[in-house]
Amino acid sequence: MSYFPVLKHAIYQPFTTVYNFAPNNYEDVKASDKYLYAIYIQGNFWKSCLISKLSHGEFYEFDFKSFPEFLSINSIVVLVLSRDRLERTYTAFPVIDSCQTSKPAWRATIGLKSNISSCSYQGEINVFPNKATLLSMSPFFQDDEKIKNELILVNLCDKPTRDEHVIEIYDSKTLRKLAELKVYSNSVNIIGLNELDIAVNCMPIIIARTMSGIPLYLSHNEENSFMSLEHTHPPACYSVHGERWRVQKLIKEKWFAKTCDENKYACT
Amino acid sequence: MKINMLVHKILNRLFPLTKIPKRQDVTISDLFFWVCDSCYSTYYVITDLIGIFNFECPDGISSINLKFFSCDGELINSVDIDYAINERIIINIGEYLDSGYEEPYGTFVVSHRLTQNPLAIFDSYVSDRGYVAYSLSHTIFKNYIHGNLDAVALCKNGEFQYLHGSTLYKRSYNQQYIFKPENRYVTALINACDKEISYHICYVSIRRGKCIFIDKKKIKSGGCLFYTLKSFSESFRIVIKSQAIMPRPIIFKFVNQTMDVFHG
Repeated sequence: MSYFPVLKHAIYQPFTTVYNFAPNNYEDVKASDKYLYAIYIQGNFWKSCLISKLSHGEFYEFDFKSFPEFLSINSIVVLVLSRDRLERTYTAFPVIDSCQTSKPAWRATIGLKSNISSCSYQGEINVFPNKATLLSMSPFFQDDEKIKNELILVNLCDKPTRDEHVIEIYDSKTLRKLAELKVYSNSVNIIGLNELDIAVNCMPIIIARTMSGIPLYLSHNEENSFMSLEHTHPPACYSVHGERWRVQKLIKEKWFAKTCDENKYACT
Repeated sequence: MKINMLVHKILNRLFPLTKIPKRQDVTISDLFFWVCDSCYSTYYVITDLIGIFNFECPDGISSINLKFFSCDGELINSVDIDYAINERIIINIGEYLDSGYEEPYGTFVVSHRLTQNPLAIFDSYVSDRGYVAYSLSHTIFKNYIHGNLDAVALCKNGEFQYLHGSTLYKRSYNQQYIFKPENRYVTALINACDKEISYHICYVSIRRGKCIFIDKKKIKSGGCLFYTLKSFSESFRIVIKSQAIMPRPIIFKFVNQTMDVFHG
């Protein structure tokens, strides 16, 4: 099931454009009008808020300027398309199957904009298991002193709480730990990377041993005129065909073991 | 409609997105797009598969081979590059193209030095669907984009096989993106199928809900097309009809003097 997160940022304005048409004409998706909802956490429940009703073929660009009431929401705000009206309150993230395609997945345009520029990617988010892990190898760091680099880690899981987790950032060659930082589930977490003393040829490895997420990397210059936003591949993308998820598990296990701090974490 | 969808389901099984390679001893690469001229530069981030998988590499140095193709899919250059593993190494593609080659854009693939397929026990293949960056010539800023497909199987002996699936009939790929009249867009369409593909690029008016223009293009196997989308006074979306399964293009969006790059 595809859901569509809305990012957060202190400087730029997030936007998410959702489309009520399938990305192809050969998967079994019934064309229909759909309700667009925003879903977020309030008081340990998932709450839904009807944004619009979209006819087939229509789209909607959501941003916080149009819905300033969402600015005070600490949790992630997720947009969903549903054929049916949703309940107002849920104890677990609602399962909505109206946007299910695979070649490609049903996607939204998710981005950030300034007064003079914007950046975006085509993406979606699924509900991550409550017990999951993350391994991201990020080549996107741009070394110029006038360019700011940030990790935006987006998580969505079933339980309507924002739980604290830890991410660790290492130099993949020396295995020197560059940072250990708090992140939260069901949140858009933003971590500045320029402060981490990342050397010119350093490939940073980002590890979370108790939480997964979509690792986005934003680079932008001081004038906010150039912006780049992209996500890294999950480790499974380094293989094709066969048992890719076992390959992913193999890669994760090796890197988690290499970076294990035996004083703090169980590595198995 | 139900029979139509049933036929589609059967055909989906017969014509997968990525074919299984004929040989086991291959690595897989995306068919990456390069553009190098007075306006653009292209960079490739070396996907350190040796480091990622923790394969044996006693001296800490591995190597890749880059093969560059013209926009018609003809091989124009092949380059071996040694690199230190577990580092972030980004190469400027323009420095490795044949200096005698004058066309501004084409495709390239990357094969990695592996003695045999280390993922055979999983019935899987090592794949480089890594990252490329594009920049405008007047700036050092790079716009990154991840690879598109597991497109080409590469043997150590230089043979390669295009893996992108195609069908017997045209399918529609509906780009989930709205093109606005105030911006300029350039698109790169890449053909990693093993045959020439015809593309009908339909511009659909958002306001009117119907096709207002059709562009017809043909791209040879291994080749690509890089062209400016037609502009209109209204917003539109694009439907690509072709026999290629999921012909997802790269979009270069220009707002004022700035550029954003993403998959369509």
